[in-house]
Order: sequence, then C-alpha cells, then structure tokens
Amino acid sequence: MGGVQSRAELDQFWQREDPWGYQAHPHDRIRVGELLAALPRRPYGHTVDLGCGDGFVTFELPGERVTGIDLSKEAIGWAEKRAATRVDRERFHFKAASIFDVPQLGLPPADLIVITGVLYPQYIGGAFAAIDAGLSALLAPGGILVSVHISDWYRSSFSLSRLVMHRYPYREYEHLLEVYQR
Amino acid sequence: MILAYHKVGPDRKTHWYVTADRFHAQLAALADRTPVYLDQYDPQNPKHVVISFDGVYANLVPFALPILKRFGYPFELFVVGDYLGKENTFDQPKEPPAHFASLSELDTLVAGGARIQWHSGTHGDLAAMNPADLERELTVPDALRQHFGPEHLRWFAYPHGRSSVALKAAIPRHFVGALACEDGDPQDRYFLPRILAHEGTRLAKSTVSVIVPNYNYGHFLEEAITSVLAQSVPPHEVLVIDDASTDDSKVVLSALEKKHPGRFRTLVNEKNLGIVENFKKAVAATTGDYVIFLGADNRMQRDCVEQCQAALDRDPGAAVAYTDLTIFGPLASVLAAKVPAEKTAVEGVYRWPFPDPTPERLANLEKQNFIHGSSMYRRSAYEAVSGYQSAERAEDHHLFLRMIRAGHRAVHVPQPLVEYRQHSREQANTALNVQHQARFFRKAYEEQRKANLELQRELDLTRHRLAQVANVFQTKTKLQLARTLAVNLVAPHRRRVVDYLVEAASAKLKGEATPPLPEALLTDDKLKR
Repeated sequence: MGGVQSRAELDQFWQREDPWGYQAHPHDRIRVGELLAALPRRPYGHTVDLGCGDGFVTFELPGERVTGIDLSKEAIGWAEKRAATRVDRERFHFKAASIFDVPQLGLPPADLIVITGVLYPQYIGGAFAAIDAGLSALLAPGGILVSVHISDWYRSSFSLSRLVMHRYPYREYEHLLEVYQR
Repeated sequence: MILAYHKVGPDRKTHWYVTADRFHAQLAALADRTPVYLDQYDPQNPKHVVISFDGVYANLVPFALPILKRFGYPFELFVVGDYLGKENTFDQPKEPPAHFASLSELDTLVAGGARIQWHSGTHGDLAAMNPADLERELTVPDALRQHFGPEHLRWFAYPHGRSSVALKAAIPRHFVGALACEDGDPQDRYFLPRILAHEGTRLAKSTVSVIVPNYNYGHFLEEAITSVLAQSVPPHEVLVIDDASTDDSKVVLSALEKKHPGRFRTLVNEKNLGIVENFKKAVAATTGDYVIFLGADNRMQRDCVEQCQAALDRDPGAAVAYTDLTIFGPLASVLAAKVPAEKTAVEGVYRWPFPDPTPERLANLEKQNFIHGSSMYRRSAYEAVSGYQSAERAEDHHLFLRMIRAGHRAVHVPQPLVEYRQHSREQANTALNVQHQARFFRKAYEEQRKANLELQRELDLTRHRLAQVANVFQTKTKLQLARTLAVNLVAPHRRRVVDYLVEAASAKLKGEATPPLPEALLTDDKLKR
C-alpha cells in the first residue's frame, strides 16, 4: 500500500498480547473513563468500535449489539478470546476489516461509532474523505460519533455537527476527544 | 465536460492515481454543474458533466464509491472485458500491480449509481489490429449484456485514447457513441473529448479566502486554525491577522506555523487598528472570490467552506451565504435561552437554526439581523458597497445590510457549519485561559523533553509540578512566564525557569508573595522581547 501501513505489519505487531501495554498503564484506564463520560446519556442499539484492537475499549461500550472492527486479524483473535470469557459475550461481534471496507460489510445503521487511534496518516494516507463519507452514511440519523486521537498526529475532522472538543493528557502525548452528531 | 479518472486511492503511486481527498474536492467543485449519464449528455450544455472511469479498478469501491454516493452523482465505468477481477498485467511494470473490479464489485458500483460501458476486450492497440481481431475487441459478450441490462454497455472509450479510420468506422455498429482523450471533438459523437483528471486538476470556478482575525485569543487560536486547515475543500488561502495582541498569540502562532508549514499566512499589526480597520486591511490583503471570517475563538465544521462555496457557486445573484450555528462554551445556555436554540445530544451545547431569507425577513434585516459574522460573501459585492464601514451597528450587520439593499440576495445553508463559542472576556482571561496555558506549558515541555534525551530524568521529575504551577499563578505573572518558557525551553536557562516556577508555585500555595524572576533570566536579551 505504498506509504500506508500494511495489515501484515500490524499483524506482526499484534502477535503478542496487549502490545501497547494498555492493561498496565493508568492513562489507558483514564482514557476509557474520559470516553464513557463524554458519551451522551441515551440508549444505543448498534455500536461500532473502529480500531478496536483486542477490545480494550469495546467491552466498556454501551449498545445492545456492539461490533468491533480492526485491520489486524491477530488483534481480532485476542478480542474474540476475551469476549468468550464474558457473561455478556452475545453482545459482541468482531471482524477483521480495513476501515475503508466498512461500508461494504452490510452493517446495520449505527447509533454510536467510536473511532480510536485510526485516523493517522500512516494508516489512511490521503483518503480520509472516503472514511468521512462512509461513516457518515453508516451513522443513523441523530447518531453519535466519538473520535479519540493523539492530537499532534491527527489532521482530520468529520462532516457532522461537532458538539465537543476535549483534551486530556495521555502518556507523553495529549488526546483530543471529539463528539459529533449526525 | 467529460472527466476521465483511472485509480483512486490513499496515496499517489503514479500520476494515474488521484487521492480520495482530492477526488472529493474535485467532485465538490461541480456544485454549480449537473453531472449526467452519457445518454443524457449534451456537449453544448456548459453545465453538463460526465464522470467516467477507465479500467475499471477495484479500488473504486473503497475509495471513490462512498464519495460518489455522498454527492449522489451518476458515473460511467469503462471496463476492459477480458480482465474483470484480474490484475493489470498489460500495464506492468510501468504501473504497479492493481486489481480490476470483479463482476460482483461492478454490481456494487452499479447499485451506487454507475453504468457499465466498454473499453475493449484487452486494452491492446486497436488501431493496429486486423478486422477480425478488431471485431472481437468491440464485441461485448452476450452474458455481460444480459447481466447488466439495456441501459449499460452502450458507449465505448478508445484504449490509450487512440483511434484510426477503420476503428472509428466500426464503432457505430456496436455503440451509440465513443470517448477519446483531450484531442477529441465535441461535435463528433464518436470521438468526444475528455479531460484526464489528475491529482492537481482544479475544477473549481471560484476561490475562497478564510480570514481569522485575532485579538488576545492565543489560547483559542489552535482550535480555530486547525478547524480551517481540516476543511474538506481546502480554501485558496488562509490569513490570520493579529490586531496587536498583548497575550501569547505570537508564540502560539509561530508554533502553529511550525506544525503546518506553508498552510496559512500571518499578518501582525504593530498597533491595534480596531475591528473595522483590521477587517478592511485583512480583506485587502487577500484575493479569493469569496471571503469568510472566522473569529479566533470559534471553529468551523469540516464542510463549512465546501457548503458555503457551493451555495454561492450555485447562485451567482447571491452575495452572501449564511449557515446555522452550534453554540458551545460556558455561556452557551444563556444565549441559547435568548435566541432560542435547540438542544443537542450533549448537555450545554446547542444548535441555533437560522431562518430562510424571505422577502419579509430581508425587509426587516435592519431591525432583526440573521446573517451572522461568519457568513461567506462575494468579494465583488463587498467592493460594490465599499466594504466594512464604521457604524453604530456591528460592522458585519452593516455590510450585509448594504449588500441586500443594493439588490443582492442571501442564501441560507441550513447546517450548523460554524461552532460559536460563548464566553465572557473576563472568563477568557481567567479560568479558561489558565487551563489553556497549562496545556501550552505542557506541550512546550513535551517537545523539549523529546529533544533532550540526556535531560529526560530531570524533566520527568518536574513535569507534574509544572502543570500545578500553571494553575496557581495570577494572569499577569503567567503571561510573562508563558513568554519566558516559550523562548527559554530551548535555551540554557531551562533548568532555572523550572526551578523558579516550582519556587513561585510553592510561595503561591503558602500565600506568600511571588518571588522576583532570577537575575540571569532578566538580563538575557532573548527574554527582554
């Protein structure tokens, strides 16, 4: 994929469990708290978690049905393993797919889309416009999209009503959390 | 106009690729034209546009289709019949490997608004072929015709754009028309010209200047400017004009210039000009056909420039396009109760819908303004009414009122494309400011940390104390410190500054007077600025 990071590289990275060390770092607990606190209080039918990795955030999300998607098959393997041990495992569905293929997955309209650590140049190159269009179309009318990214590396923003821009420290970086509504 | 695309993707491997971001901007530029299928296309109609793709490559499904569907535009796909679902072996090694769309991918594209057309069997040099081979190249297999139905496979595109007398004579037996490249003839239905669309192809008829006027909003500037730089259709130019701010705006601006080199221009007034003179100076310093101001404490939604530019492109008689607003910030609820505005999914954030410009409302515009200051206007109308003028009412209201009275129209774009921050000056200078300054300290600190690995340990120890410091200072001292820090984080005094900040913070916490700045910092030339 030229300058864009390949699935093979990511799979290599996800060979071992928890490669980013989410379980041990206090800031990763905090970022889940920040995300949950930012979610508008309302019922969510279908939630989609993009860049779900091993499900670190996914399992905390509301939604009668939660679909976790990650480019890496290895990461999805870890997520499914973790889901299997949960009493609410029926809620979760995981799929290895590129964010660019999401419109073709035949997902039902989403009331909530969460996208964490995906929209960086090494993953999406100059194709954010395709993601913006695809995800806006996936979102149900009135649906919520939450984007969480390291602010220095993030250059995107969605063609949806932006309701919140919130920043907080994350490891040696700063996270930018945005809440959008269709 | 007929556009010819080939591959759309995340990056440009060769000049046959257009990135999805540019593809979006090129389609957005067609707002005032009418994209049609070839069957409806009238080459004499300057509004008609056909969007065509040759290949057809599988990468259209992920990278072009969502964008085409967003606009709802029809498009034409010229397939190389023997290569459906296969690799582009005939183009290699000149072109990197790429897959042609399979039959099911073509079905997906058809469901999204495509019509399938013919680009020969093998993409060979048809002009050099014997009649039997040529006939085979031009014959669409019956199975394919049946699969797609009678609306499809009616048009032909010459491989490599090349034709010959024999080839052109054979086309009408198979197709209702044919497309060439740039050398085509708009009068010849069997040799219509196309424009090869590349990454740099500019289809927009108008240009936009975004102006961000700033006065002491250093702590909000980053959000304002990055929201402009993230626009779906990048404006022709972005100008930040600083009206002699006394806060840390200059430091913030130079950091942003470093982060986004060449993406925006800065003008700094030596003396404070006041709103009207400052705005006039800014407009005179820009060249775009359309102008839009964004207050340095506000933000744009991603498609603000795109939607407003499209609205003015579509309506040449309109001088100004205004949007709805999202209102946020500590005083949002106060304004929301007054205007009134609607609740959103987030508590304390509101949508302020604006009315359509009916004749009655326009007649009453003097008393009741509904064209806000971040509306996009036409430079020619601005010049015709002699621009911003000093008046009792707000300068933008006065300007738009004169435009409307001069007979221009206004158009309403009913989406909250501008995010309008509600806060008081006082707040800006206290609580929020401190919060933003803390962010700024932290960021500056982090940059330095990365650049000085040998000092990392020492810096780690003081990082958390530094964040506390920012919260306990008085504004005046803090501004001085912001400047000191910004200049000094790369200088040999850094250690002293950090020591001083810690000392000052503990004095503050104990209720003692802030200690004076150390002599070494005061005598450093760089710090005196």
